[in-house]
Amino acid sequence: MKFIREIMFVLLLGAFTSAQADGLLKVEQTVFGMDCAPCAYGLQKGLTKLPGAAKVDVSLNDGKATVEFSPGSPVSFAQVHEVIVHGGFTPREALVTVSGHVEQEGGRLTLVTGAGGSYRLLLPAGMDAAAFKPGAVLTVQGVIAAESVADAIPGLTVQHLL
Amino acid sequence: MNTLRVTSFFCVGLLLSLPALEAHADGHGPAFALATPTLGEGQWSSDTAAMSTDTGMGTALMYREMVSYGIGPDLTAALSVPLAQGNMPSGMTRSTQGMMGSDKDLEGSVLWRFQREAPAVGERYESSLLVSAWDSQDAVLDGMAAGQGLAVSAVTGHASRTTYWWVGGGLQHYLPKAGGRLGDLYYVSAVWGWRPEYFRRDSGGDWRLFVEALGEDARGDELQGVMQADSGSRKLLAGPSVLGLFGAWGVEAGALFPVVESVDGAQPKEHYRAKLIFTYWF
Repeated sequence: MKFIREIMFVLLLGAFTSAQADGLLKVEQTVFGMDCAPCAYGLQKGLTKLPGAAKVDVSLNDGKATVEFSPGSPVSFAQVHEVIVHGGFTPREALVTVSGHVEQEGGRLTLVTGAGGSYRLLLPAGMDAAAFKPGAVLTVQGVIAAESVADAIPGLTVQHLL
Repeated sequence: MNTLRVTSFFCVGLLLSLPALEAHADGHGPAFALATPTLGEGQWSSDTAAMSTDTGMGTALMYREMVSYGIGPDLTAALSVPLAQGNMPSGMTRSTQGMMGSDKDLEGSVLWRFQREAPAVGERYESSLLVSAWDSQDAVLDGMAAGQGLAVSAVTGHASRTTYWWVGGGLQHYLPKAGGRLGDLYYVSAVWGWRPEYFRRDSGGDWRLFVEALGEDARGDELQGVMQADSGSRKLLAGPSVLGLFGAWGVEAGALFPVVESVDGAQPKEHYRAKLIFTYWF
């Protein structure tokens, strides 16, 4: 009986740790319309306020906002998008690193994080789809196209399985 | 005493006839001309300005503070109040909008960016509408009570990491008060800016150079229904300004000089307008 309780504790701990560790890990967001240092400063301040934001860098010259999140951060890509839009800028494509579990509905694969963020997985031709089984916990790096950044469930074209 | 009063009258009149063209410059753009930028949603900024003009009969100097708040990404509100006044008697002022108000003016303004397009990194085309209203309280200008006023202007332009331009224009209207009314002011502005290659980097100061031009048509003042002879003018001014940005701080200095100037009656001509602005973004 004691053995069963220990096994259950380990399983629960594992599940809890997994849920805490997944989520959005890094966003490299291309930003259009940012032309001045105060613009970059304001955007940096806004992004820094996001919960779990561990490192924020906004490059005026590259038009890029890079945010690294602590593992388990509750932030979704939509929140990053919202900060940029509210700053008066236009978010374009984004390179995203995110960890979550795979869900399948119909023919669509979705990566879901513990915080409730969802990303529709788009697998390029030639990528081995075997790793993207429903229930699998994965960390992927991919691109969210400019046309998809405002979607409730943005499409994430997977580039690397980490 | 009379000489001082007359000198002050003209200096103040000149200062106050300046349209509030940078009421919402917010440190992003030119010192005198209209520009489009707004604050981000929830962002605050503080602009502290010193302004001066000279007619050869005397120099006027005033200081104002403007606090701005981004209500939304395309809507910024601002409140402008006087800080102190240099050599101008407080009883001889009248109101204008923006940072060019007098020692008693309280002014509120709203800038609405109604059009925005960002075609590339660091680049945007946009158009804004600026509406301002002010109250001169009990300020009196040479026997005429300076009433309340309203100004509306529109501006469109382009900003990038290398060059900038904006063109705009507007109308400044004074309400009648105690039998008199200060003349309306029509104005247009144009500005071209350049960010030298050396400053196109992410670290260190970010400097921009501007060439600004301002055209004004000030109508005459009316007192008891009679147009005042020594009022009204038409001017074209131009000059340089420089803007330095350092993260949360900005400093800007500029001067305008008359290129064409025609004044009605026995008014002195203007020699220059100068402005120094410190901006902080919270």
